[in-house]
Parts: sequence; structure tokens; C-alpha cells
Amino acid sequence: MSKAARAALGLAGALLLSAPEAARGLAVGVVVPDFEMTTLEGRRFSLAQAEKTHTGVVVMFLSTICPYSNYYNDLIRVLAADFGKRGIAFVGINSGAMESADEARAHAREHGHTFDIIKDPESRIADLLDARRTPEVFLLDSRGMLRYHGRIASKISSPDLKSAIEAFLDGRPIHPAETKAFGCAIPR
Amino acid sequence: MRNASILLLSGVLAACCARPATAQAWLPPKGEASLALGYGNIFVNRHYLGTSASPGDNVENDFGHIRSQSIQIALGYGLSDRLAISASLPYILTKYYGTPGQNFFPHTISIDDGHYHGIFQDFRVDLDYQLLRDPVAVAPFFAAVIPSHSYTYFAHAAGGRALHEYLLGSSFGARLDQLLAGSYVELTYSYAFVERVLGIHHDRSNGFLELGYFLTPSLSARGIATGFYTHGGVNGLAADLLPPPQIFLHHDQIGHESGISVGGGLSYVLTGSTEVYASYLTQVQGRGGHKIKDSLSFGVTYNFSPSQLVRRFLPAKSDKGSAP
Repeated sequence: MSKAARAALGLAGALLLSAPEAARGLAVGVVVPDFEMTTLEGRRFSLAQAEKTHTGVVVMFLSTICPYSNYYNDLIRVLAADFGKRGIAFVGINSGAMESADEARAHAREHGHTFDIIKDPESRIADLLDARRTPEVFLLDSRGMLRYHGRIASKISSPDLKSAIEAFLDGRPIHPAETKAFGCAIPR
Repeated sequence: MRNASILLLSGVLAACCARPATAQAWLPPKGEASLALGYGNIFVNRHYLGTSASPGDNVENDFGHIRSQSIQIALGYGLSDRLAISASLPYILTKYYGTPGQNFFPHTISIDDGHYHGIFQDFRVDLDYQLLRDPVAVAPFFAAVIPSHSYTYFAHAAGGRALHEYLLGSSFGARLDQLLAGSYVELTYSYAFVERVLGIHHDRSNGFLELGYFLTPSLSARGIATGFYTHGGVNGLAADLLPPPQIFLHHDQIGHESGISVGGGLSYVLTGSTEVYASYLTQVQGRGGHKIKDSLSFGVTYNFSPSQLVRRFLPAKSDKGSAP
């Protein structure tokens, strides 16, 4: 390999390896701040209350128009149904003013999403959790501690969220506990 | 050895700016668009070309060096959760150089002058279908390679073969978590129906194997092997024996060639919508054509949602949403 090629490869490697895995956001292990809002169906939702009454809570930042988010519509319906029976609550957050509550409501009905969904037009919840992407998920335990943060699954279908919930319910260490959510930016 | 100049194979062809070598078996979701920019740097230091004294299409000789640098832009879009389309066009700068009297045997045209010459090479349009996704991903595809214009193919420094190709193939991918958590394999085979020249059949099989491992959820390392084999074509060439003139003019397009390259690479999810990659390959086996000593490529892929962009500029009627 030429010197230039070696230098270029070395530089690329250094750049890749030096980039922080999670540059921002809540760290796994911290207690997530509480929030309370009304769902699309008019129910009052309190994160702290959901934590108290469930083994764990999955907070999912979703979108009605983001392809990455929509790709998981069926999967999250199944996960919410399956893990709901095992004490895991799912709540969807639609942040930003780009999508209306009516759209979010219609989208939820279309895809059979029966879990609570909150319209967060001013992205207050996204700011609170420092969520940046859709889809982006946070798995919290009954004390509100962040146990998993990141994507639902990888591009090669690695079931990161499902694996994290199963490990959490089985009392095993969650690995990886943090992945980089890949998807559409949450508008601020 | 002067006659060697006439049979040295010309353009630097296949390895330039391959599609980012990840997740070709796993297609993007409906509505996802991607814009990829890649850079390739290929160095050919030998030819697989014998002489009458030492015949054979696997004999390596130094008949001059070829350096090719290229930039490729590619656009992709998920038409549905199962169907994706992509299009690309590389711009290639190539030079042929060596030491006169030792290893510099230019063809009698102006671009074999030791300097870079650039062309827009071939359009490539791919249509991929996600037949299966889990537990094994299977994505058959059709691709068309169409020369962007009529360019020189008879030169060591030619940027391409200037031939239409139509490829049918499939990518297969699977996670290998049961063997090693975070690992995967991907395999692609395609058969290229290549435009005949002088009525000569010279189609090609292409193979690609990747074994990857996620060092972290965002950083993956991979080992890569690629290969190709020409079905038909013209063989039995030797550097100091002239073929008929009409064959000689097209020998770079219709040579019977094969080769295997191996290497590795890294991919990194830089942000929530941007991936970067780098890879290196070197040719370890060949018959006919060039020996690619080094093939280095870098690239960045930006993924975005056109519908979100449209919505940004044409916002929907907003409402108050859930009451805080």
C-alpha cells in the first residue's frame, strides 16, 4: 500500500475510533425526569405513575411520516402486546409541530397501536429526555432508572429493544445498553 | 519486448467505488432516501499477461502502472418496504505511467501520457427486492450499467470498458449471533449479461462475501472477499504476439479474465442519519487483466426522509396536541 493510502486509512481509522459512541443524552443508569401529559385519547399519563404500576416502561419517540419509524409500526404493536402481558408499559411520544395530533391519532388507529400516545407539540418531552431521532426508545425500570436507550433494531435486524426488555425481565445484564438511534431528526 | 505495449490491458475498471459494502441484503424502509458520496483509489502494479517465452494468463509482469482515483455519487430510495431503487455515476481520473524502455508501453493514443485523464464513466441503476428479511435476508436485484457517453476504451488509462451490462443477482444476509454475538455474513452473486463485441460472448459472474462484526453498536469491522469470472471472452493472449487488429482494438473489453481480491473495512454510524465507511482490498489471484495491488475506498452516506423535508417547507395544519 502506498504511503498516501496508509496515511489516509490511518486517518479514517482514527476518526472512526475517536468518535464517541454516545455524544449526548441521558446516560444509562440515571433516573429519568418525570413528565405528565394527556394522551391522544384524552387520558392523563404520568410517567412516575406508570413506573409505579409496571415492571418497566418503554418510552418511544415516533413519527407518522418518518420511514424509519414507520418501518417498525408492526413490530412495536407486537412488542407492546407481548410485553404488556409481562408488566411492561409502552408509551409513544410524537414530538414537534410538524405532525398534528389528528394525524398521530389516525396513524395509531391505522396501525393498531393501542398503547398510550402523547402529542408533544413543543418537544418538551423530547427536550426532557434529550431525544433526537424517531424512532428512539428509552426503557425505564420501576424506579425510573434508564436501563436501555437507543434504537428498536439495527439495519441488519438485530432486535436490540426486544433483547433489552427480555434481559431486563430475566434480570440479566443488558448488552448493549446503549445504541445509536438511527432515523429522522425530531424537529425543535 | 516492445510489442508488449500493444497487449497490456487498459482501463481500471471494476473495483472503483463499490456500493458501501454493508447491508445490501437488508433494504431501506419505504420512503427512506440516501445520498452517498464515495472516493476510490486503485493502484495497478502488474498485468496478468505472459509472453511467448513464458506463456500463461496467470503470469505476472510489470508492464507499467495505473493509478485511478474516482468520486462516485449515488442516490437511493425505498419505494416500498420491499422495493428499493438506486442510481450512481462515478467520475474517474486515471493515469498510466512507467519508465520508458523498462515498463512504459503506451498505446498510440494521447491519454497514455503519464498524466491523469478524467471521464464520467457509467451510470448504474439498481432495483432491489426484499424477498425475505428474517432470519435470513434475501434481496434479488436487477442492475443496468450504461456508459454515460462514448469514451475511450482502448488505452491503458481508459476509464472503463464503455459497454452496456445488465445484471441479475441476489444478496443474502444473516446474523451469526449464535456463533458470535454481533457478527453477520453477507453474500452477493450476480451474473452480468455484457454487450457483445465483434459477436464475442463475454458475460461475467461476480461474487462478494462479507463477514462483519459489530465492535460497538455503531462501529463494525468486516472482512471482504470479491471475485469475478468472465464466461467466454478472448484468451491465449501474450504480450509479444499480436492478435488480429480488430481483436487488438477491443482486447480490453473482451478479455477472458478472472480475479479474487480480499481485504477489510470499517463502518461507523456517525450521527443518527450519517454513516461513514472505509475499506481496503488487494488482489490475490487473477487470470488476464490487471493485478490490483491496492484498492482503497472511503465514503459517507446521508440518509433522509424526503417526506419530512417536504413537510418542513409545506407544514401541515398544526394543532395544540395533547394538553400538558
